Amino acid sequence: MIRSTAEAFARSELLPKVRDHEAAQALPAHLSKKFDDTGLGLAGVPETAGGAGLGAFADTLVYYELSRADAGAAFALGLSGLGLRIFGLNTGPVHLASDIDQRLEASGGFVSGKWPLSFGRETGRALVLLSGSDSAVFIETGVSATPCRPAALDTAQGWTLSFDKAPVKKTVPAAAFQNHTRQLAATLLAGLSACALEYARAYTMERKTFGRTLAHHQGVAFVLAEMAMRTEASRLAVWRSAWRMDSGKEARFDTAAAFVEAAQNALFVCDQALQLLGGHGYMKDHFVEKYFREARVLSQLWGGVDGALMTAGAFSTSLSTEIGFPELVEGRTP
Amino acid sequence: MIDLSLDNASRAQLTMLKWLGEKYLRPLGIEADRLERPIPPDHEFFLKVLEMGLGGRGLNDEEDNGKKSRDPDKPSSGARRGVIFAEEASYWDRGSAVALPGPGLGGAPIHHMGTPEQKERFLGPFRQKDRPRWGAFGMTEAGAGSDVAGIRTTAVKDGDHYVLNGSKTFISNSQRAEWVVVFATVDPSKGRDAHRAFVVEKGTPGFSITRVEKKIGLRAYETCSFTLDNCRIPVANLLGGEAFYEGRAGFKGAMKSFDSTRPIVAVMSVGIARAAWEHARDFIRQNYVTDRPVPRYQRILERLALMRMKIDHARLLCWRAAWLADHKKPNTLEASIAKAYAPPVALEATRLGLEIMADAGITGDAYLDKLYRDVKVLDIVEGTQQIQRIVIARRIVDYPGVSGEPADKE
Ligand SMILES: Cc1cc2nc3c(=O)[nH]c(=O)nc-3n(C[C@H](O)[C@H](O)[C@H](O)COP(=O)(O)OP(=O)(O)OC[C@H]3O[C@@H](n4cnc5c(N)ncnc54)[C@H](O)[C@@H]3O)c2cc1C
Repeated sequence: MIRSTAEAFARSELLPKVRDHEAAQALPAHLSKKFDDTGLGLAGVPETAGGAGLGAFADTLVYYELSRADAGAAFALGLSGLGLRIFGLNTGPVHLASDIDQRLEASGGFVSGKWPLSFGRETGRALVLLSGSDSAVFIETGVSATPCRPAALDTAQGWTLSFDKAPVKKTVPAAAFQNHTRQLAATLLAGLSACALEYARAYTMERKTFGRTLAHHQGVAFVLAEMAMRTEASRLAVWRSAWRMDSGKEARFDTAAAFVEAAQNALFVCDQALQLLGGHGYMKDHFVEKYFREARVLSQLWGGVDGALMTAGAFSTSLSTEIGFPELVEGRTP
Repeated sequence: MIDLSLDNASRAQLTMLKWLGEKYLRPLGIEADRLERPIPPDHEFFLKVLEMGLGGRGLNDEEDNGKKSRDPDKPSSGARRGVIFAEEASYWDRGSAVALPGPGLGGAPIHHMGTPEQKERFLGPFRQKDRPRWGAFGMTEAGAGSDVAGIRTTAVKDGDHYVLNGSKTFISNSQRAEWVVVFATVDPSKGRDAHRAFVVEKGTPGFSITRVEKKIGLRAYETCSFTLDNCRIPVANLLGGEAFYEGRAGFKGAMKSFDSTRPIVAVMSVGIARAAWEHARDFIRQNYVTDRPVPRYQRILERLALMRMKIDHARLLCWRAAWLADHKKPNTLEASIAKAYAPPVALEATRLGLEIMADAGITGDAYLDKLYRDVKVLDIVEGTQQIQRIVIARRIVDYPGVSGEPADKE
């Protein structure tokens, strides 16, 4: 149900206007409102915070479907509720930064420095995961944002942030920050892969070279098969980490795993999708160039693959090797 | 999503399997590897297995187990239990696991193609516990592996018998098997349409083992070549009976059995990968002080994490294919995806472990070295990764069959 509502919204509202939204560098307000009206935006948010309380799994289904139509718009919509998911309180949209390289300076309860790129609606509030820290800090004043043009995902709006001795207002556990940010990015990457695969599949079934359909040259068919495998792996990985988040158990290894899987696969799938269109893929006439750029940006968000591997590495030697059985409720089968 | 909650009986069996794995499967696998000979068919271990009610039947089939009372509207859990048990057994030792008594890969074609009488006749005896029994699956020939359409073993009808002539190669457990499901052609010029599956029983005159292969790994079971020299096979042993082969049913039957065996073979590699990963993890715990600021340590931890992720995700693909099978949904695509994905991941896991161990990894008696040799076969049997890509491509872009015939869609 959730999934089909999200799919319908994505196909009718997002897909026809992909390039318009990208050029406008924002989603029109009426669309965000329309999305809120469907109830999808709050599906996964806890009931105590005014949501439907369906958990991370519901969110994952929603943003996966949106991303299959337009990752940029999906990202814009996903970001607006992320603060709410991490805090469980209505903070409104926040900028999110995960500093794995000690680029921001934090001392005595103040944060200073420049942050090159953040997405979302501008509100002057920020949530920052400081390097080596096990909590994220919430900042309400002392952050200034200047618009900047990101390499992709323009629809989600890019900003450069400047922290000028910004006072820390509150702290939240790193786990909440890492799980929610990585899960969203992983979900978008998985949806993006599915979208790129479908685009390349349709194209290679139409075009002919050397007397046969492009898809029927083995060198091409094998690439498509590989893309399909990896897309399926990403999708199952994000389902699993969502389930893990909902189970209330420590999920940081799992969300990091889903992110790494989805990021590496999307980089492969979106690159190959462009490749299979040849010179045509390089031009703005097709969407594959967009997927190619979006995979790059999404996979570098919030610490990227390196950050996720650092998190996962810290857990690695303490993981059990028993098979863990997800005892899932049948009713949630999408 | 994928529900893998186990009922209590299955949980108890899994506990037994663990006990068996630690006490027998792994030590016997290591011994077979060292001695370069299979576990003898009269080994007391096999009797023990039967006594415990493990082995002795198709791993993934409730009906083989004589339980027919299941509510037909409820999804089966057979395929899911199959992947869980197969992983656990291979975690202890994949070679010993294949050596376990039971119909083996031969069970699937009998199940998918056989008449009810044939199922009872050939699979029924596996319920008995008096002695271990094995079955085998004979498709491959020296000149026809991936390209199964090219098999040359012939079947010529003669009264109420078929006369089989030809030879098969790399057929696992065929020396000790009660029967081998042999694929033969009634007309070599007609490709797959002319394929027929026969149950060739032990002791059939003209059936003889010609060679026991010397394998680099998985030495706990034997893999043999055999010849069929004017073997007279009763029509009653033609799987499914004559009518079954109208159209392309014969070939489809064999392919259908792959839909259920591929996730099992794929998940076996996950079991080996898990053993390798665990071995590497324990080596790190015992030998490296990872909170020291040694640059290599951070890298090791991250590589260990990355490997673990891939293993977990390979397993999900196998579970997904099994879940679909239990819900009677088509799973050819997913089964091939799992089979193409998991074995290379597992090979990488064994290799990573060896690299983490550095010089200690390249001594010939390293346990991981055995796993490295064992795991490679899983990328070859039940369709290589290349063949899986052909199957996947056929599903997603109607990729034409390898020998040029139109895509096979059902
Ligand atoms: C230990 C072991 C146990 C076995 N047990 C059994 C058993 O019990 N029963 C049984 O029937 N068989 C068994 N086999 C045989 C196994 O199924 C075959 O080895 C396998 O199908 C591959 O066939 P092949 O060896 O002839 O390789 P080939 O078919 O000659 O393939 C060689 C290479 O070419 C690639 N290739 C082939 N065709 C294509 C194509 N169209 N496009 C791209 N690449 C291609 C393959 O992927 C492979 O890499 C066993 C094998 C081993 C090693």
